[in-house]
Amino acid sequence: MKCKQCHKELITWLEGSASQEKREAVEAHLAVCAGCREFAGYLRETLALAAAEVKVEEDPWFYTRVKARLTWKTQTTAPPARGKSSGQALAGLLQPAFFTLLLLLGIYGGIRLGGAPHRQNHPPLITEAPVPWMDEMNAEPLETFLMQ
Amino acid sequence: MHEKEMTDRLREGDEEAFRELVGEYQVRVMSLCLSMLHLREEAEDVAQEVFVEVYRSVGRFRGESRLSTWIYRIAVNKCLNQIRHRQRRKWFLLPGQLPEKQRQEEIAAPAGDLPSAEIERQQRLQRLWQAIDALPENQRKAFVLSRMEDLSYREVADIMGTTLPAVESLLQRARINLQQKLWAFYKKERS
Ligand SMILES: [Zn+2]
Repeated sequence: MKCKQCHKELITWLEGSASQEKREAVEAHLAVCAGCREFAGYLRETLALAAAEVKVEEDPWFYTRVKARLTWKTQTTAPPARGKSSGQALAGLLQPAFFTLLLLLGIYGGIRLGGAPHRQNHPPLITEAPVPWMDEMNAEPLETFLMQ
Repeated sequence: MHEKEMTDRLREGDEEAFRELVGEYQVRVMSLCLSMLHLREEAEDVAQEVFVEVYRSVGRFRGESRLSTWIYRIAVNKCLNQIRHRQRRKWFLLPGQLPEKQRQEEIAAPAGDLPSAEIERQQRLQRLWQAIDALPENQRKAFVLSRMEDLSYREVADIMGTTLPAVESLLQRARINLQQKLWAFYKKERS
């Protein structure tokens, strides 16, 4: 058996579900190959870590939380199954719509801001009292600012 | 309590029977959700949803499979939905809100000044979760149910609604895929 073939069989071997023939072949290779032995150790440890990580203790408050959720859901959604799916569908539509709106507002704002200095060349267009930020732009035009 | 009696009582809306059922299955369901989702908070949330669904749809449970098989099936589907929901949501999240980031933070949170052995343990876990998450859906289901939840191939086949040979073949491919991913991580770690 070559190292590559051995690697392929390692998890099955570690699980103890390899056929006798495969098991013997893996063990014969491991006996002479330190590299594969070390990798087998790494796999064994990693898989054991994960098994330990998902071990959970019984939580005495779990039932109370399930019950609360059940009560809450019955109160808030009249036809439960449909209520949920239509809610999700609505969220699925609203989210992209919201982001599209944001994007459009951004573009619009950009165009407005980009166009703003040119407006100073057409004073008749501004008939009302200037908005404070526009006033600031008048007081210190971009050109003077850049010259400084 | 006998399964038939339990489901009959659940259908009648017997709260005591529901309490018993939650008590009997909460650890298994929570562990499965944790194996699939790897984030404790999210796993707890989905596990609760599983029992809400069980309570509501027990009327449709025909008793053709075992009660445990039916509950596991609901749990697996809820987890997969959650993963899909997560992937869709990814487009609208800030980098810090991504599940992988949250997982890293969840791990780093109690850390502070963790000993290096603990950091290494967490890194290894991360890599294994990454490797499991990268498996095709059916391989992932089979691997998690069989390896992480320690269910027999027969039970896995029933939960997945497939045959024994199909489960064996899925598991074989899952093991090879995982081994390849972990070998890549292992090599990187040693270099
Ligand atoms: Zn070797």
